[in-house]
Amino acid sequence: MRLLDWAVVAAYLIYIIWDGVRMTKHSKHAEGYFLANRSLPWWAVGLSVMATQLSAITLVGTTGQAYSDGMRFIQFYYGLPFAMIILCVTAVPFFYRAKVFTAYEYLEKRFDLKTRTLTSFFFLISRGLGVGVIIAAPSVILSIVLGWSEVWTIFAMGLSTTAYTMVGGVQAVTWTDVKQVIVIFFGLFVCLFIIVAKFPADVSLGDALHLAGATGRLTTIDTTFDLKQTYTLWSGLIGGLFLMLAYFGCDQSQVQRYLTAKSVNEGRTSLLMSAFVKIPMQFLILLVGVLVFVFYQFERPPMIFNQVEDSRIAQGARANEYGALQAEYAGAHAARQQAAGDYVRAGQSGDAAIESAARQQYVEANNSLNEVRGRGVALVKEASGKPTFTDVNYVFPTFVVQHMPAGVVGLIIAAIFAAAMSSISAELNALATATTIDFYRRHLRPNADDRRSVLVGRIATGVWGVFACFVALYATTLGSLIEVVNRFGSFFYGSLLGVFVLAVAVPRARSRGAFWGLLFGIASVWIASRFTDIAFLWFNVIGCLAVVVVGYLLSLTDRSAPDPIRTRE
Amino acid sequence: MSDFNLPLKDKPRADGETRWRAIYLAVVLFTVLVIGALWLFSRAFSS
Repeated sequence: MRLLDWAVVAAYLIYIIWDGVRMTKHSKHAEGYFLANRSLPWWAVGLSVMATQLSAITLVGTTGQAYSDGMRFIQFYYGLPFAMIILCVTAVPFFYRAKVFTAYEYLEKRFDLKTRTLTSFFFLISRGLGVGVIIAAPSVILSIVLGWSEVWTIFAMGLSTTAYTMVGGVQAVTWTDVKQVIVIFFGLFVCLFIIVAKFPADVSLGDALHLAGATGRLTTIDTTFDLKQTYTLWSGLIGGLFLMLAYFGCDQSQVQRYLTAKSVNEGRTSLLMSAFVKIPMQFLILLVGVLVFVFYQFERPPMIFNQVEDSRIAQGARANEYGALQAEYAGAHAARQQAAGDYVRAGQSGDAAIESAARQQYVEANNSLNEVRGRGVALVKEASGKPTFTDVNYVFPTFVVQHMPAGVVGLIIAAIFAAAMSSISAELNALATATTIDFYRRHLRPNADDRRSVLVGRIATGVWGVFACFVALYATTLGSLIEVVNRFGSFFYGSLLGVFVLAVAVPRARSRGAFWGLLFGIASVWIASRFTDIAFLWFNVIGCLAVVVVGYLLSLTDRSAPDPIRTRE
Repeated sequence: MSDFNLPLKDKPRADGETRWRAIYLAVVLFTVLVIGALWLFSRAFSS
């Protein structure tokens, strides 16, 4: 990084921390610290909803995935708009009018204390782990850009965000989210523009898209119905719908966003903003990754994007074998570069037969390069003793640092920081809220006053921040980070959603059914993940259905009077 | 008694519900259009 880049990153960090800290004056009481006194406009809440979901993993992991696998990941979001509509009709008015701090408070009113406590506990586990993964992603980037160790970068990143969230509460989270979304979008557009400008003079954007399309990287719909395939139209529409319902309807980090809105209608509008914007925005992010792939048709990409592992093996016991593979890779790239140029020129000639032959040659050259790279990755796995090694998360940051001009590197690093901090702060705030409201104020000190609740909220934010940093240390050794965080979520989300479905849509449901149904749902997902090859998006469907079916059947065995919430009607 | 306690079918029709239905329909149509456009985009450059 050059001086100008450092200046951009420093300016961003100073502004955001100042912006967050100045919200302290609105956070002296529990209602202000946890819910912003339910006073925020829909557009601020809507941007905060988007910022919370759009983490640094989205920028780093998704662009890397688009580089290696193409756009099929976009199908993951096809169920989101439909989930938003369902939540606008159900969850938003339910939670808002219930005047609750957490989604899980409602479950006590509908069922009983142990169901509330269990769901909140599962939320704390899944989100506590999830926020660790969210911290890991930008730390990976920093370790490459600055040459720091990942351990130090994880703690530097995690603890600085923790400190700023502790002080400002949800007001700080929301208003900094608004600025952070602007930085992210600006960074993305600048990045896209510069990548296209860096293509060779005779390669247009259309040519670039044809190159990507020939290798299958523009596939946005896969209608195959295969439960073992992660990203298909059906897993996105059905599995994705369940995941989004669970994430936006049962996850405190999102529920807390629309609980801060001025009214029910403002809360609904804030969710519908994501329904309109999310798929096009995800397309934009994936397009960046695809265009990075096209850029590397004309510039030699590293065989291994993780420079640390690359250097280690190049200097290790298998250096000769690795060196030979690098030479083979260079030859394969030269052949692909030639084939790519031929395909572009054939397309411009207008002769369909020549174009078809050139396309075939280009696809074969690309497959050859991938085959050599595959052997390189396998060698790294063997030599490093890391069978899950993948360099997907290193693609985008490596490209940015090596090929973006001064100032823009800083802007994109700031955008990645913004994405990370907006998610981390919202998650920590939600974890602290659930800890304070569902455990401290419910089990330990029911009569705690406002000042003490805010103090406990701040302490909980700090404790969760440290816990997340330790999880992040482990997360950097796992595969694609975007998949890791979604896998963590899918393990619990479907079952949590099942409990809320029982609460809202099944009048016959009783507390016995909800509690044991939830445990059965989690067990079902564990069995599915342990003993089958079913893709993780379907875990949300399995967990939800298991809870609803078992919960309902168990409720039929409960002859007791309706639960307290019904008797109050 | 707040109506969040009521089953969905018993909920009173709120003012402006027709407007919200129109908005939800717009979201569905927009989503179908976007997915359709992505499919066309994919076909245009992949063949």
